[in-house]
Amino acid sequence: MSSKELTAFLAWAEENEILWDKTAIEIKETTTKHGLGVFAKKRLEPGYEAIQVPKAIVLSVQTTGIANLLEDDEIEGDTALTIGCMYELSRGTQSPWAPYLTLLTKRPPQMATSLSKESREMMKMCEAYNDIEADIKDLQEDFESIVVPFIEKNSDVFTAEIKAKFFTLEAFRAMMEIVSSRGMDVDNFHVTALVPFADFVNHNPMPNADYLTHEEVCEICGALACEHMEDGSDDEDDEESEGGSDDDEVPDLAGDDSAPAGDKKTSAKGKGKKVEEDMDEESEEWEDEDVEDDDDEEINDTCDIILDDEVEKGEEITRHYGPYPNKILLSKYGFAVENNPHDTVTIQLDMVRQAAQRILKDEKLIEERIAWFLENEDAFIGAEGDDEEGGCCGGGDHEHDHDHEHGHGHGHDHHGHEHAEGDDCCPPKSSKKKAAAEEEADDEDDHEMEGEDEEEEEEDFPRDIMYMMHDGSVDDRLLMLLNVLFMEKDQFAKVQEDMEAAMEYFNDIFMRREQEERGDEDEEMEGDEDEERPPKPELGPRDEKSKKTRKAVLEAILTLIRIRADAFGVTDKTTAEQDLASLKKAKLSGPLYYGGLCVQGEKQILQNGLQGYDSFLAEL
Amino acid sequence: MATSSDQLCQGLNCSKPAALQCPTCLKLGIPNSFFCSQSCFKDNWGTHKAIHKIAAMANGPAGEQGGSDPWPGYKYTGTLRPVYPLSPRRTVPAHIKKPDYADTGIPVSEQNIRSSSVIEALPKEDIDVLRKVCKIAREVIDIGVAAVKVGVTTDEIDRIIHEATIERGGYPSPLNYNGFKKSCCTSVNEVICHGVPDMRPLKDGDIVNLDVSVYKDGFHSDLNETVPVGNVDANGLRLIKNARECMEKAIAMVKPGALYRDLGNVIEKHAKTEGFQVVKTYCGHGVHRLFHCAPNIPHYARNKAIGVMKVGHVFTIEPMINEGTWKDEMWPDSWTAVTQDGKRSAQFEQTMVVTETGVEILTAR
Repeated sequence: MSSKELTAFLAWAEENEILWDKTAIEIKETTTKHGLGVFAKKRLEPGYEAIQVPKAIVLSVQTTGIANLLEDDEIEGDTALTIGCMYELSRGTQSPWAPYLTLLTKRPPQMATSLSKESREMMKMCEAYNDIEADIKDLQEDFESIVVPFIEKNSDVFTAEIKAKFFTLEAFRAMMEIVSSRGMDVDNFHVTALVPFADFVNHNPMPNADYLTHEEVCEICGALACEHMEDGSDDEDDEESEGGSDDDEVPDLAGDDSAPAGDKKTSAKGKGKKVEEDMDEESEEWEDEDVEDDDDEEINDTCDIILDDEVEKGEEITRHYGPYPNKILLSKYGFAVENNPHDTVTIQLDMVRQAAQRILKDEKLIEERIAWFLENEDAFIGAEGDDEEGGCCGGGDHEHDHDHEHGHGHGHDHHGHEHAEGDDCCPPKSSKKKAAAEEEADDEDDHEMEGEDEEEEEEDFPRDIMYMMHDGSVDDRLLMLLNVLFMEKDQFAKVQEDMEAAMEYFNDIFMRREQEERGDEDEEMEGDEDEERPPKPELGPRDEKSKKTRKAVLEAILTLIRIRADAFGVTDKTTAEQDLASLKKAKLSGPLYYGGLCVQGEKQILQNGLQGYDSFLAEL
Repeated sequence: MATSSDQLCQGLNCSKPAALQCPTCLKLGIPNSFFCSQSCFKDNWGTHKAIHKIAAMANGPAGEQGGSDPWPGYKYTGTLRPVYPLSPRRTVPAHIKKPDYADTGIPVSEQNIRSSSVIEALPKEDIDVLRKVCKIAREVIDIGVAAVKVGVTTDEIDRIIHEATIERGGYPSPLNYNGFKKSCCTSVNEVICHGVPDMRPLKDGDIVNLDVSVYKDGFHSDLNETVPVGNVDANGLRLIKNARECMEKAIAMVKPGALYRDLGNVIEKHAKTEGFQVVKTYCGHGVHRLFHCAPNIPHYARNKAIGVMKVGHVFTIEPMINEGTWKDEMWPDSWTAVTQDGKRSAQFEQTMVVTETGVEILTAR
């Protein structure tokens, strides 16, 4: 137990003005003994501010001691943050974050990237395996191509002794795991950071709390309002004073002036409005234009954990990291969730080719149809009116405390997920954005978007990857592709010529799918929960042609499932449920257990698919 | 930290919730002067300030001999008083190159920086120019210090410094920087920094800090010294000595690879040996083409300043050491920083550059 380190950390947190009520909130071991969590000590109401962390104490590329070195060498993203944290760690007790880092390194996250090769082999049966292997490879590459040259260049800071002790590949991996699993988005100045205390809040698919920060700050200095030109904030001060008397000069309004001023003031003969950068002191001048919540908002810029629901005494406080499938949860955060509603199975385009070939046995036709699909699909997907699909991250964790990318862009790349102004893919911005937005949870989120900015819906994603959802159903693209493949020749000709006819045809397909597959099912897609489905027009029964195509599509899906299963060595000797039971009995450690959940989860999806589509075929 | 949030704005025709208060009323002890926003406050200033006059009449005026008190009712923390009116703004000949804020008061170049974590490393050519400018500043401050005598007003010191600067082809950097009215800062006794030269004659026993900055050939230089006036008591001398030593100890730590945030540790440690405290609000700063830029250098222990020193970094170290509390507040002129308990403060400052082997003090005597 790390109670000594934990106690020291809590004292440090208090000293650094992290706010929480000791009678209401505590950090302690979770019941699964997989780490620490935040718990309620008494019943708490929705809206309760459980934790408030001043931005001044987050550990980011802007606050680490070597900030200027990272800036000078243009190192960015998670790699920069990792190096910054490693540096602070190397400073031992001299680091302003010493007690926090001591606690973290005492209890390292158990991540798959630290497993031995043999152990990782066990995960070959699930998709996470490739992501993890890629991560490991990237770690190595980033270390050699970014970290090592940086350290060599700054040899007066990174002496031989320090290098050997604190800047090895192992140290880099260990800290990268911490940054990956704990990093949280703060704002457009800090971007991703370690946010002490708040980062002890664990994930839950049905969370009771939320993470909020004020994202829009000056990119140059991080202040809510300052004079830096990028910010465009108006300067309301009268800078010229006439003559000696100040009677006619309007002084600046004052708030409380309690706390010691932040260390951001220069001896600048800055006009006494307690200058640009200092937001800690509250006797700030009040500018009422750009600040979005101007009524009661204290100018104490904090990162907050706020309860959404009532929480009972002893209950763990949790938030939603985002609608990620298990393989993302595993590779990035080091855990996986049983029966994860956001879990998916990937279907490669090549698998679809294989399945089609088995049924149609006409390569030329298959390629023709696939080509047409790839060229034209954008016109039709989204045509059934569900505008929130294809979102960047499915509207999940809007604080983007993660980097979507796996194994790529660790170094000089972007910070995972930056939004252009007025971006559509996330819900409209309020001054404090909700971390887990409305459940636009999009099961089509494409977490394989390696190396690409996901700023706009129209940005390209890998076209050769499609998904099966948690309930076993195929995603819209796959459904459409299969229909394109198996429609009759004359139907295809029509669709090629006449856009409107094509639109109608595909609309019909999607609507029928709604009715036939989802109408009676209890399981709904996450995104549909909030929607009141308008009564759909009754579609007539399928005609012969439609039935024929539908049959082919269903058979193809079943074939696909088997192809996918074979590709990963998934057998039906045992059911997914049985697998889950055995997994639990086996009492494996962290990543192995979670890896097992990934494998089991994927099998469950395939099983659901088989059962579901089998029955549709029977009903046809 | 919460302010009462159920107050309503005092503005005419405004009843928005208000959490901010008129600072003058706070000082005068007038309660409930809440306003919702600076703009609303401005709109109502004309009528609102009458309240100050009324309160002031109850408190009684507190002017010093010879001058008028510009802020009736303000609760001074110590015995020092401003002596207005200030002398007219001094002129700078046309041939002298001026910084961008000389006319407007606004240091636009400082606002246009790309990022607050970039610390410029100056090439040798620039350092050579800067060295000369710093030497001039040193000459000027020495002239100013020589003029410090009982009975001389701080305004007179300002005149001497202004003219010495102009004579050497430089522009006095403080002049109109963010609207500062004078050419140097004169900080007497409980004034921590940014004291505005006025008509007050220096008294026997005062301690006064002269802060001189010269701008020439595109570069700023910055230095200050605290000097005793006449016969200063033992504690005052102790304070001055300690402040100088704090600065020197910090300078001794400067070398490539050292952290800016570690300087405060050694300063505070030394101040504490004499029971003194370190001002937290004002910091050392980068100085070269910009008067104030990165790095930001707090002088107190365990601060979180960012930055590692590299060859070519140019900055000041300027600890302000207080007899009593570290806490500061500001006079209603929005410049003069004073100790909250009215006890004295001393300061020393140099401009320096990081070299391969350590440091070169550019403003050294």
